Amino acid sequence: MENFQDIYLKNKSNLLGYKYSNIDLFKQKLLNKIKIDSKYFNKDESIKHLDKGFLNNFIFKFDKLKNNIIHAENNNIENSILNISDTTLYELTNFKKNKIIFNTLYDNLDLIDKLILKDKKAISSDFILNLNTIFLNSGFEIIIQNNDSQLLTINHEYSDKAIFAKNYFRIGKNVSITIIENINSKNKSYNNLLNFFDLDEGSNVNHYVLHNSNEDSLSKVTSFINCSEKTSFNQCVFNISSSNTRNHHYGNLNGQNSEINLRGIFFGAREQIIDNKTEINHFFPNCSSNQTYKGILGENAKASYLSKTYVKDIAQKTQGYQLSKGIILSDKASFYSKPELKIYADDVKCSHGSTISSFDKNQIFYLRSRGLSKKLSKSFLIKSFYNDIIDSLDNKNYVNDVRVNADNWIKKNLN
Amino acid sequence: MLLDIKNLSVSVEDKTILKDFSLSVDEGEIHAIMGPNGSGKSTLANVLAGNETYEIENGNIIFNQKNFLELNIEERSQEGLFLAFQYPIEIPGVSITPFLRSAINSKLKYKKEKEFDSLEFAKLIRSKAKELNIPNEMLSRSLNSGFSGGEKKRYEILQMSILKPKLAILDETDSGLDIDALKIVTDSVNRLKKEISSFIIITHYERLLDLITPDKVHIMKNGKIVESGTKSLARKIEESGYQSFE
Ligand SMILES: Nc1ncnc2c1ncn2[C@@H]1O[C@H](COP(=O)(O)OP(=O)(O)OP(=O)(O)O)[C@@H](O)[C@H]1O
Ligand SMILES: [Mg+2]
Repeated sequence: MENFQDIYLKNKSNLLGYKYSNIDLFKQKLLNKIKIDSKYFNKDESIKHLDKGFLNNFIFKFDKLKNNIIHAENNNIENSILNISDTTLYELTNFKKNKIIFNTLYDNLDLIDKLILKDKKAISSDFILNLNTIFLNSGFEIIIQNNDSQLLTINHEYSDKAIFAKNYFRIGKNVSITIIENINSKNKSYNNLLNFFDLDEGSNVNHYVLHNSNEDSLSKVTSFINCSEKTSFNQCVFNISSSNTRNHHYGNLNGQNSEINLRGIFFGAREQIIDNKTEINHFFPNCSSNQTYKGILGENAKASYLSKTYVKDIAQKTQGYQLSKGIILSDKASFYSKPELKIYADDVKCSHGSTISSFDKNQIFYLRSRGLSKKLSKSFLIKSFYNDIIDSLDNKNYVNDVRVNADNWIKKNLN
Repeated sequence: MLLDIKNLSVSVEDKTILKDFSLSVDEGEIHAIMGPNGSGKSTLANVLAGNETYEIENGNIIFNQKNFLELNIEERSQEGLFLAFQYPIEIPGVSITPFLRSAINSKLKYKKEKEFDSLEFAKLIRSKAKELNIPNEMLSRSLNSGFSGGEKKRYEILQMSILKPKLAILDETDSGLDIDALKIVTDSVNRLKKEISSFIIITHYERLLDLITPDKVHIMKNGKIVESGTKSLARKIEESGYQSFE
């Protein structure tokens, strides 16, 4: 692996913000902090559970920057669609009709500046997010103010590319929207996506992610969610990728009577490494949160799930719930989970639970005794394991995609 | 002969539970097995169903001319055996309708017969549920999960009436049923008697045998049948317990 300095210098002209000396300076500072040696990696919490191999085997392929936005209207459908297949190629459908404002980071210095310097403290402690900042070559801002309930589908279709994106979602007052992100990377793509969500008062966001990347591609998705008063943010990350993935999602409750739910279902086989983390900060009273991740792991797959609930002293009447569950299909698969609670208020209801197990022998016997094959019995049990999460989602197409993909995985990976 | 068990010895964790056990059931017969707690009745039922926890040390089980010990759990079910569990297992998240459709279709596929589509099956399960006084909303609930003891037992009978086995083993299905439910369940068994050829009924109570008339009653003690007879044997036990049997 070349060092990051060299990669940066060589590709500078294909990165966003390179023309501006203050941004360049900031990136140089970050670069100086990054070292590629195993001692550094083993100490660094942010990548402890990550596959470090990607640094050695991966060639980052940066495309030339250009600003490419194509608008289309389709009167046969109500929803909006955003297709992204290149660092700066955006195909938008029905954005105008649905009054969604779309700006790219290309040539938008204010925005680049804001997104790079925003949450600097949090970002600079995370290796992967530092890479995201240094190699930033993609990103947009979406502003939604129209408060008819809406659906926005974002298709990330990357092939043979390195994508380092910062995507900024500004959700206006009382807006209700479901955002579905389909992440399909193939042919040695590397994508490192960072989402910011700012929810204005009374808004309601469902964020459903479907990871479905090929074996030789890597995806890392991070979200920072800021919720003001009376808002609700419901995320579900369904991960069926054949490659290594990282999902880190952070939520701040910055106003009363709000909720954040961060949920995930992941499947792993072969030598996959799946790194999950969620964190919710209760800064205000009367809010609730739920962090639930469930994983099914076969062969030599390794997964981790770190969850954390922080409750500030003034955040009374907080309800915080964490759950981590795993089904292990082989002796060599493993799941590491670590729930954390940091509570500084006294009138709160917080809990966490964690179970990792193989199938229940008695349940398998019961199902088989009715004539179901071993494989079919296991498949029923796997589905029952994550159905409660799926049942709580309110988009039929997404739920259907999730079920079909899960069925295929089960067919392929159970014996 | 539908079922022929010969000299069966079974152990679990190095403890022998069934000792040289033999029993034959003919087509169309109802056999009742009674016996004190821990005598091995449920073990027998589980071994017949193929539960792999138990180790077969010796003996033979022939069912429908097939060597049962060579068949796995699901094959035995597909061959026509059904066990109504003493303690039905709770399986949260698996709803009964799709599960039972898969079960019957697995059997039909095994027999190379036409499978049910979901509409046909919904009709079938609703009509069977009605016979058993099971409300429709129970059909969308998870298997046994959060059910009362009696509800679980009725669910077992519902499954039996859909799968229509050649031999049904009812392991204390009467325990935990209220008087009305007992009547509903026994009516259903009597109705099914015409379609299902044989029953093994494990019970502690003679009153069940007033409602389902057995052809034979066996007393089981310490993993063995110590006496066989007719219904009058059950009356004797009701009156004087198991002491006199050795
Ligand atoms: N899986 C097991 N592991 C250990 N011991 C077992 C197991 N299954 C059964 N046993 C033992 O075998 C003996 C017979 O149990 P079984 O459940 O067959 O009795 P039973 O006749 O059905 O009793 P009951 O009338 O109480 O239902 C008991 O001593 C029981 O503890
Ligand atoms: Mg018993």
